Amino acid sequence: MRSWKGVHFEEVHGVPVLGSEALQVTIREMIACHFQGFSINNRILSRYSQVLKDANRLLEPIAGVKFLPSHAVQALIARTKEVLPATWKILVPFQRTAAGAYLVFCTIGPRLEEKVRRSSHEGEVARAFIMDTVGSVAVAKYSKYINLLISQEAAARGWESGMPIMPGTRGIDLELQRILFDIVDAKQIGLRVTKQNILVPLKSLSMIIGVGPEVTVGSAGHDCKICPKMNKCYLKEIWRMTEQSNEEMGLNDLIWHERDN
Amino acid sequence: MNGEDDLYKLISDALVDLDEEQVLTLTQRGLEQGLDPLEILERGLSDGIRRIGDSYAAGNITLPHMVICADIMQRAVLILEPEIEKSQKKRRFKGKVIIGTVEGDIHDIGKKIVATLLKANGYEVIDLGRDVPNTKFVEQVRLENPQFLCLSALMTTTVVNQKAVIELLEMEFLRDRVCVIVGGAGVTRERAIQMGADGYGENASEGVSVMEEFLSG
Repeated sequence: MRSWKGVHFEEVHGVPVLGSEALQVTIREMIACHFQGFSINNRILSRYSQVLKDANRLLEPIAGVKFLPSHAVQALIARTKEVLPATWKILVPFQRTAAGAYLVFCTIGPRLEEKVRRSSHEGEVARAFIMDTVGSVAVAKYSKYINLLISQEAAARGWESGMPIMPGTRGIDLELQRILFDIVDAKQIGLRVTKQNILVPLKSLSMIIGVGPEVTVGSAGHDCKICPKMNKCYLKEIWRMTEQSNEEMGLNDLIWHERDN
Repeated sequence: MNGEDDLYKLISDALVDLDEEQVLTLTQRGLEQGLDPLEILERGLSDGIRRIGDSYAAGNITLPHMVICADIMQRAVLILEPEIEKSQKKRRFKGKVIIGTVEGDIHDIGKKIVATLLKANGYEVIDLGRDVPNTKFVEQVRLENPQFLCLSALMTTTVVNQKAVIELLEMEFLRDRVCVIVGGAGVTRERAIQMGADGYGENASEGVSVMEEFLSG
């Protein structure tokens, strides 16, 4: 097993796996998600702090990552042409520009979700709701972190990395998730995909990140702007914060610095 | 204002302030003083949740604030329920609602929040859970004869089952008996109209408001 600053990297049945014990959601991020622009009283703050403390202990982030060289990316895109034509159109620019792509599956594990279910079942709906949001923020933050790792990896080769393409957003069929799932063999990190292509645990996501000298993978639009869930997504604020500063998100502590080791 | 009125107001105020300990203590005190549990519910707790609803509608608070409030109220209702039962008086509900997340969709929390807000706002709620078979919704509508059927779908891939339930209701000649409200991140207002739903809730609170509008005619 290789180890970097707060990051473990190992192979599990041939799948390169990233884990981190440093992933934590902050009260500031939670307030940004739920109360942006509103004043909150101490009772809310103390309720959130308490739930957050419990929830952070239950985070078990893990990611399965697979790098596809250019020819494998082309084969993947060709495979989507017949079964997922809408997705294929969005992926086509990849073919011309990406020297390769990282396929990523990441999750915060099942423990928080089990706790959410239990709290909800016991009638503690507010607690379950707050914990559920912690899970959403955590997986978003974790994916951002993996993105940064990949950007660094690409930069080390003199490449750029593109905007992540996520099944279920921006006109990308959710069905793509199953194809990627098999390629990465994501069950090795404890994930499964349902008949409706939903990842379980629910606080999990998959993404394709193209890398190359002049990668252009933003042809479908940029981030939230054309996401079908744009109006309902409270994570927008988190993305905005990450664009402002990695430091604010606590991501600098998580970023892999190879020379440290 | 007499002592009873004072207590109702204190309960309402404590709920608005999200002071859970105080809400539960005062609710218990009301029962110990021999107050009618239904009056405590209506004039204390329901008054508080109405004020919070108004505050939300005016844009002064967020949905999570309202969810916390509804959650506290539900705890207080648990204290009152055995006494309401003993008193043999019937709690008057605004309407009966069946709610569930559609077949194939295993998301639960959004639907649970809607159910909690509905209960807090005086509805009788039958929560069928998540990944509910289409046929079960129809069976339950036949059995329970609710005013509202709320169908939640978080994924775009499961929204089709909201439509499938509506079609099944039509096939079973039950469509006219129930108002179908759809919601969840997977569905939009346009899709709700296209699939033939009677109402759409962009979020949990709007779902409740839609029902209030239907009831007020």
